Amino acid sequence: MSDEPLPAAPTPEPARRLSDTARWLWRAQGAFATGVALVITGAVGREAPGGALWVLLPLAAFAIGVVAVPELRWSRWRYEIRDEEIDLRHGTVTITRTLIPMLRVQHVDTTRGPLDQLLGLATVVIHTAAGRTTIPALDSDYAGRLRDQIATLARTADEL
Amino acid sequence: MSSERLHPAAIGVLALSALRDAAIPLIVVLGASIAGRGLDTGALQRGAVYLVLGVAGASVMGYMRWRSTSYAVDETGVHFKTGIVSTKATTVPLSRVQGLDTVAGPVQRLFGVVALHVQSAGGGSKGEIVLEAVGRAAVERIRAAVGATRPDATDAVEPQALAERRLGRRDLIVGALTAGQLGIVLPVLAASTQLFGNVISSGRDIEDASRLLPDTPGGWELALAALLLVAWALSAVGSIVSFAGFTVARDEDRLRIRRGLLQRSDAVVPVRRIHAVRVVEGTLRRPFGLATLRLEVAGYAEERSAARTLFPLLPRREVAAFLAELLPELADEPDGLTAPPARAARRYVLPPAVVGLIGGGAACLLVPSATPWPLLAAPLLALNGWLSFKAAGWRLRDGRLAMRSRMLARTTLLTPAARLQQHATEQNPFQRRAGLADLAVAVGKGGRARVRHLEAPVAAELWERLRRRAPS
Repeated sequence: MSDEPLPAAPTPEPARRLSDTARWLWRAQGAFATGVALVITGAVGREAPGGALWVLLPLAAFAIGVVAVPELRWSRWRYEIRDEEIDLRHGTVTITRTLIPMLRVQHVDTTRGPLDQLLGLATVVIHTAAGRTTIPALDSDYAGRLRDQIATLARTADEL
Repeated sequence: MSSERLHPAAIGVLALSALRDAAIPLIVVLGASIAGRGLDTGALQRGAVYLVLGVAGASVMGYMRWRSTSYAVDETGVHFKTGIVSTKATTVPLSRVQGLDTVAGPVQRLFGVVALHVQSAGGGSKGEIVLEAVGRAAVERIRAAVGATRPDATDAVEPQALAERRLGRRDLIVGALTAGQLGIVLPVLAASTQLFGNVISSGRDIEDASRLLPDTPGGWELALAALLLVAWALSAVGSIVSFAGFTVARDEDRLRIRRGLLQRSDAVVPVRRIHAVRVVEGTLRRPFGLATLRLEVAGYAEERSAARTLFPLLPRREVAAFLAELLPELADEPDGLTAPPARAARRYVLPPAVVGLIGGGAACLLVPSATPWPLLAAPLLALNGWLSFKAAGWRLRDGRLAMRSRMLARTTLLTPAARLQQHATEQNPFQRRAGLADLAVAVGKGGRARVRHLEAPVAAELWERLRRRAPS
């Protein structure tokens, strides 16, 4: 295939998880979305043929959006901060494994939306020249420490 | 250095830009008055009055903006102050100056001056300073001041270039004629309007169809064809204006790119900021084996795509030699890539075909008179998928990564693996079952590349090998 030597051992999978509360954040968001869907189908369903069957649609949406997706998303999300890189593995449908070299990190911040604040959560946003990557729904104190840790590592790795 | 005004030619430049900003509202006002009362001498007179008022207003504006703009260069940095009502002051520290580019538009050339763009590291389009008109002597002074601390940001007195390439007149014309992606749109549209015409003239559901279309089908097709022709001509003219006299020269650790017909631009790109080269083969150029080379530059101010062109037109087989000469740091061969496995072919073809089938079916239900023509979308999209499969490929050799994919244009990304911003493998549920995976990378300022449906172990191995290429 090519002349490069094979790496000795594969990189260990990232192991750190998001806050347990993350599920509640996503459930709340899912509930809001399905609520909107319910109102719309309620309005449309009265006119459309099939009557009561239309109620099944938001029920299915509820089961997927409020029960299944937050659970799956939470159980799949893993991250790891190493001295020279950030390793992420996440995705409900498509599973993505991303690697960001610490050298490429330009700056890091934490953001908190209204729901985040209510639940005591925060999102760490990592900026590189090519765009932003997030680690969502961490306990806010912990997110602050993680941000500082990444910032320190990025600075030591940086020279540009 | 004390604070200085721009060259008075800036009045003209600023007035023109003010006029340009006001042009659209002016045209709307004019158009509305003509549409309201018809085109007569009264309307023409009003138009002339508006025009004179507009020019006068723009001139006053230009003068006031010139009066209120000043700049200075000292040991701390380049300072810039502007604003009539609210003043805005910008300072770029000398250590952050990435380049001093000169651009000479028609007005500037009339007065023998240039516009000087101070490019700053990580600056967006707003982060940089633009001095609209400065004399040659002032440019030299600024270059000297900046050059004392940042020799790589200025081009000293015309050093001998290592290598240089010019775009010939013939290549300029060929490039202009094959610019844009209309090559594929034109025949498809021509065919579909033809089909539509047949459907209508065959008399089926003629009332249905006539309700959907404006007046006569002939006029409708003609208007569309004319529109496409105009778009094509405009893209050709635009390409000539941007790329006339294109010259790229390598001089030590920077590339100097000069181009433009009406507006001569002269840009200096530090090589260490170039993170990748893209070999772009447009639909009209592919059959002739021609390609465009583009740059992915990190931490440089936002520029239009013409500004990120390394060379507008080049035979594809000369790409490797061209890069070896001008940009050896990134030189690589765009050919000889490893393709995705043969069993992945149907994954490139089937999903778009299904989408086309569903979309086409829906269109048939909505517009029964058009049946079965919308279903043609399915084989067309399948063909597109097949071509994408044939185009896809990758290679990682000597720390150089090459990734090729295709939307309408076939694009090969060439980059040192150590320059990647990030990389990822992705697997959807179908791919998990089949043991396939995508590889996606990001380079420079938001440039992305992806090769779909590689064998999962191959993608994982690539991911590991890219990880071990510690950035340098």
